[in-house]
Amino acid sequence: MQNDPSSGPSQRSDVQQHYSSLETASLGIEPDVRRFRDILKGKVREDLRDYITSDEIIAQHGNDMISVPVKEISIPRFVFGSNDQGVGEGDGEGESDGTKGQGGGKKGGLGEGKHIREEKFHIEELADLLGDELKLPRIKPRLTSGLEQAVPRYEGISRRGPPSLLDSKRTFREALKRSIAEESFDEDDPVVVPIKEDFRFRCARLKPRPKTNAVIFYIIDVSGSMGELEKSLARNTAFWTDAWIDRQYQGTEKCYIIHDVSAKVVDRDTFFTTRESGGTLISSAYQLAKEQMAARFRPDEWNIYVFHFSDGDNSSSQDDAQAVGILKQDILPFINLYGYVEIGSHNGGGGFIRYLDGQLDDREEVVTTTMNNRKDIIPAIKSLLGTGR
Amino acid sequence: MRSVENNPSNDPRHISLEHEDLRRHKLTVKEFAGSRGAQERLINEWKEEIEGIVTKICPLSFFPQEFVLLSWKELQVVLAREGFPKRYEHWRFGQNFESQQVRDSYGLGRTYELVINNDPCVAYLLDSNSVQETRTVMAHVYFHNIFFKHNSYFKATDRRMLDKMGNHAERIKRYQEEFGPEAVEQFLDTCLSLDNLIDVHSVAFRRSVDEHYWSSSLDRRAPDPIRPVRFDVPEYLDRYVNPPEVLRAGVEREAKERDRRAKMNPPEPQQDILLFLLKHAPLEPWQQDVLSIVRDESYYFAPQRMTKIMNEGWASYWHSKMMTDHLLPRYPAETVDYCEFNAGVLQPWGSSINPYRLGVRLLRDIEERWDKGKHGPEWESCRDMEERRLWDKNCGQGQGEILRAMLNHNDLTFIHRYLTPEFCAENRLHVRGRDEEGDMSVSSEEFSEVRTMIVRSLTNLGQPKLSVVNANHGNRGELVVFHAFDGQELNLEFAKATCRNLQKLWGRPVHVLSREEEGNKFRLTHNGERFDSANASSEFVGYFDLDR
Repeated sequence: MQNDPSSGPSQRSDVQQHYSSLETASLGIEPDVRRFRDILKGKVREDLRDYITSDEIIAQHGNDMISVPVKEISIPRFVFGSNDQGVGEGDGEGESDGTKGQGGGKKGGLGEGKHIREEKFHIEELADLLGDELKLPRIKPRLTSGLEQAVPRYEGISRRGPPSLLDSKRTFREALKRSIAEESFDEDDPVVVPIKEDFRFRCARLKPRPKTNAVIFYIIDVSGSMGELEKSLARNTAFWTDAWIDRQYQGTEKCYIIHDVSAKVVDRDTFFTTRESGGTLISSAYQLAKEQMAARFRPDEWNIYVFHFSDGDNSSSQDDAQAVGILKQDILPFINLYGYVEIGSHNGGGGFIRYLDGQLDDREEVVTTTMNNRKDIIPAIKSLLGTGR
Repeated sequence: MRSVENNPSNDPRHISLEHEDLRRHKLTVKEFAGSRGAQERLINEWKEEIEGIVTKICPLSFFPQEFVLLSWKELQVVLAREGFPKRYEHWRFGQNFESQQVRDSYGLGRTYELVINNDPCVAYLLDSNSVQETRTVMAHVYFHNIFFKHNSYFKATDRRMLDKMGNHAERIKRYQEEFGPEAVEQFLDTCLSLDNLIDVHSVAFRRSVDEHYWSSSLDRRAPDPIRPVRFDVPEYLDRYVNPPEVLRAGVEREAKERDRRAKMNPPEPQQDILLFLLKHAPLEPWQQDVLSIVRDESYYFAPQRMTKIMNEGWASYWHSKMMTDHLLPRYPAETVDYCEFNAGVLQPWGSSINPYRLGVRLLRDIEERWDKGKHGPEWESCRDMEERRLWDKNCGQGQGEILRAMLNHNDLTFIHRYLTPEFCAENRLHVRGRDEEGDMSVSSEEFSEVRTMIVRSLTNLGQPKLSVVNANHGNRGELVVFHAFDGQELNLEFAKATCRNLQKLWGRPVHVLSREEEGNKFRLTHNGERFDSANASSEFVGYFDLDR
């Protein structure tokens, strides 16, 4: 190396000097952290308040620990507006939200890169925070006949059962495991034949019906006109509503419905993650809710809440009429509250809310509201739950 | 370097005790060596060994290399301060620190390495990284060092930045004491809002505040008379090749252009808006100094942002070579862990580009193409696929071309020069965009589109290009800042706020001119009291002629 060896030692002590302060306990970052927190809390620097951004993403950690990305101050600069294009590599199936890139490198000395700041909260804490802002919905006492009746639910796995409840996926997995263990599995001729002990059946568990018999239907429109923003607004609102009701009432039942032109009942995870596309038939969702009420949640036994999130871009006005018909006849008379949230769609369209308001304006079990951006989440939850019904 | 997940192999329970030797490299540096002193001795031993190999395999010199061993917490502080142990007090370092802590506690990406462009070059090592990781990181670091020293875009960077950052901190501290922390912080925030308004193309040159970017009208020399542009041809052809009416029109055009410029102040658009403000905005001396600090730091970091793909590719290319050819043969027990580590760093990210991966693959592609002579007109014109596949002219120029690329290019020119359709196809590079359903998906795999998209994202560091075009609009001392529109609109909310900040420094009204995608020309104006936006009226429309 051409580097002058004589300059080595003196430079070394030079550099190490810079780090001597780091080795003392305080590290000196605390004043910056304190200042940052004070600004966030709004104690100082009102002029920065406009640049505090919060970008909530829902993630559940373990049982109830969630990571809630919270506020960050972005210094305004001349930058490009939303950029809907970029270059990807590989199979191109990475999530469009860039989560795959989270391992992203921060190169030496490079201070760029926008991360979302996350803060840990217990879900209860957050629900309490929310609760301060909201009124408690009062659950009407409903007839409680058959309250203690146990109902069978299919949620276990058993080695014996009727053929109709055969869980073929699990069965074949067991068979595969066994044949590999026995070394009878041949990769070139991958035939797996289950024998008796491989069979797995779904089995019914008897489940006592919960004491607080309230059920909440969450209906979300996942049609193509609902963009990422709209879906995330809907999900966030649903999530926090859900979190808060859970905090108030143990054991409420949930029924999650997603719909485009057809509707289906899904589990919670699917509800919060599905991306669908296609047209919109709102009536399909109401029809399904009605069927669910008839089959699982009889109105004389249940307090029923229905929350629907959509951009209101229904495929036809005919379907508007049909949907409201179902609402009026088969849903509204039997439930405590019906909440409809219309999310301003950048695709235009919309308008179901106008029709709905025109038809049902006078009914007190109906709440409608609109939202356009993240700031509207709290007001929307307020209007959904603030009625105290 | 970062890798996506925490390495579960750090858990000693995974290894049975008989293989004492095999698991030693999985220990952290701290566990391996014990006391801080012993750790430092160990690092020095490795340093000597690695430096010996680097000298042997790479013909380029490096700055003296310093390794600083840090604990988890210490590294987080340094990271929050963008790599430096000492910075001025500012809330954004607190914000960095908090977000870093949360990310780490969720195991979202782990920082392995951070190198500072400085002479001596400084790199941080985390005492809780494993022995194998540390060795790889050290090998990697030397090539960032070489890159900093030799790449032309770094030539003008300040190599005493470690001292200089400390000096900046001291100066700002003094101002805080004299003028109050709140006033200094507010002014700093205003400057930071403008810190990308520099001329990134000038990073390869030496700059100074005294540089004569434009002169006042007093020292402007009398302009040369306008001469028509004529082609040198035999006289009998002259009136056909240089028709007099065309020459006349040219002279008139030039006269008009000069006339327009004479009314402009500055005569040429100034992209280094920070310099312009430093020289011409009515600032207090301390404000001028704070602004110059922000500008200096911005210019210091710019080359690193301009060469991310190359820098990471270069360092990864060489660390792989060092490990596989030299270090792993000496420490074979580390092989599997090294491979896992390396795969983590180089894995594709799917929805965005992993600069480590793109960089290293492109360099290897260059090496192969220049070794086999797969470039130049003969190669380009060959259409026989079989011939192309077997093409090997035994040129052996691969290494030389890689060095040349490293010395002379930045990411933008590098991609433009070396990206090939074959490479795009092989690595499945693609353009992502919103489809009609509004979801992100692959919208094109066409080479020209992919290259255009990458080049665009690298142009002017992926930021809008703005210049001061007139500092005396309407003879009222109003500042006009022009956005050279290239197909992407400004983020309006931010542009308004930034316009306000420009106005705070300039004192007089500030107009920002830009365009909508549909072509509509508009201005954003802040006059110190209120904000106003409108379509560009006749008094502004002339500035858009600059947009050529």
